[in-house]
Amino acid sequence: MKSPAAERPRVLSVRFGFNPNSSSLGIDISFLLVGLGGVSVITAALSAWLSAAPPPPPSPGGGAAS
Amino acid sequence: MKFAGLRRRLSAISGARVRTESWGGIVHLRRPAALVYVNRGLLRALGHPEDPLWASPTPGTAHRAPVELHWTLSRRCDQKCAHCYTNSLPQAPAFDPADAERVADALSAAGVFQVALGGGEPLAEPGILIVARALRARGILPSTTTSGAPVTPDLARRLGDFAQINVSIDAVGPAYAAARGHDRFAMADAAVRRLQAAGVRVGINAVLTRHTFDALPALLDYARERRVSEVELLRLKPTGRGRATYLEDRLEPAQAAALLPTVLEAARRRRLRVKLDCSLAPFVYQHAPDPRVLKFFRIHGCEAGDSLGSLDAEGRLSGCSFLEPVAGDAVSVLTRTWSTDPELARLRGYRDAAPDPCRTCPALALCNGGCRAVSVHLTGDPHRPDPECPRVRTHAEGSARDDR
Repeated sequence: MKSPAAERPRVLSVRFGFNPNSSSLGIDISFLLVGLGGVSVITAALSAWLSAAPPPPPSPGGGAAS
Repeated sequence: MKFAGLRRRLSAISGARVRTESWGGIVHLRRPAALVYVNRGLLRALGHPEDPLWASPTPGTAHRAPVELHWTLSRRCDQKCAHCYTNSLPQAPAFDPADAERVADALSAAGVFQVALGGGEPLAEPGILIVARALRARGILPSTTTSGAPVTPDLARRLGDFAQINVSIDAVGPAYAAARGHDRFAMADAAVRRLQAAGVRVGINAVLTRHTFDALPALLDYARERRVSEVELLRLKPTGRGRATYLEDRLEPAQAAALLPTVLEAARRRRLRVKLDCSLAPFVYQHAPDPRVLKFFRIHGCEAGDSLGSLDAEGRLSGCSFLEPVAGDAVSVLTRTWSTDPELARLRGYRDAAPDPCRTCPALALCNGGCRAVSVHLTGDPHRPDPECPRVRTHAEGSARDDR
């Protein structure tokens, strides 16, 4: 079995947008129209987006909550 | 140092925030607005330090805190809509905005990313701008839904802290009055235009009933014409004033079965983004879409007590707005006992001990049993399968035949 440290980097899932409805969660069925092809494209785009962050700004900024 | 590097790197990606989970974590991007679930390997690749939650070789699936919180500021509203799920009234107690900073601190400490402020009529609450500002200051994105009544041009210009505001419009023209019990479509339409003019991202919320179902194409045409960001279609809930006429107003089984193909075709033709609320998930799964697509885009059913929590006007916490509050102080549950509270654990663990016919349903892991609010109304038990799910209905009909 692979050690946890060797886990291949992966985007597992994504939820786009906001959910202003305060009584239930919105599920975006529009993505059913893009199918598995859409999963591949969006996975690649998000992975690239996360991995190719621009150079860090000169000072630590707000926004990161980890 | 490594941690500081991650902070700089993520904040450089359009103000992203990250929260660790046992499987890895959630990255909240501002642009594009998205919650991206990633594994531990990806967070490590981004430079995230090892987290104690990652110690187990077999990560769990439950969230350690809500990702999204629904916060009812009051049940005060003068619209008297026929199916109001909170039974809102012109006079009702409201959240004290003096408490906004304390609650916002707790939500921030818990790692909540988005908060939907509800009511009543949330935009009529004098404290809502204070609450929204307190959330924004902590990187939490507030949103809300309004009838449109309080939205003057001046108020619309002061709503810049909101990530999105939806206007409740169940149908257009005379069908609006039939659905809501009063004719205020023009008021709602004016609110859409004022919010858009002020630069607010605007969507539409529409409750589906058997009486409004046929008016759906006209509503989607209107949404397209107004160029709103999305339409969210909601299942009628048997709570509040909606309880009294629920059986006469709920979708007919044939309408529920036609919902997904009808909406997908309408969305495709109009190039419109359409959401269904989580309680409608069983009517999506009945068409057996590719589970990989469902999973990747988080087209899930009930997430009560897992990624979703709710705070009521009295400050009590529950797994979802329709469910009874759990015991204990809300802040304490949010920040310390979300994972161990027995009632919340039972809600998210439905899939682990599901009765028939959920137990053998291929969609169980995503669906988690349908809508608990419908279950409790129709069976008296929130932990029974949603009786309106087509699979559950078929199972019940079969059992009834066997009994005869």
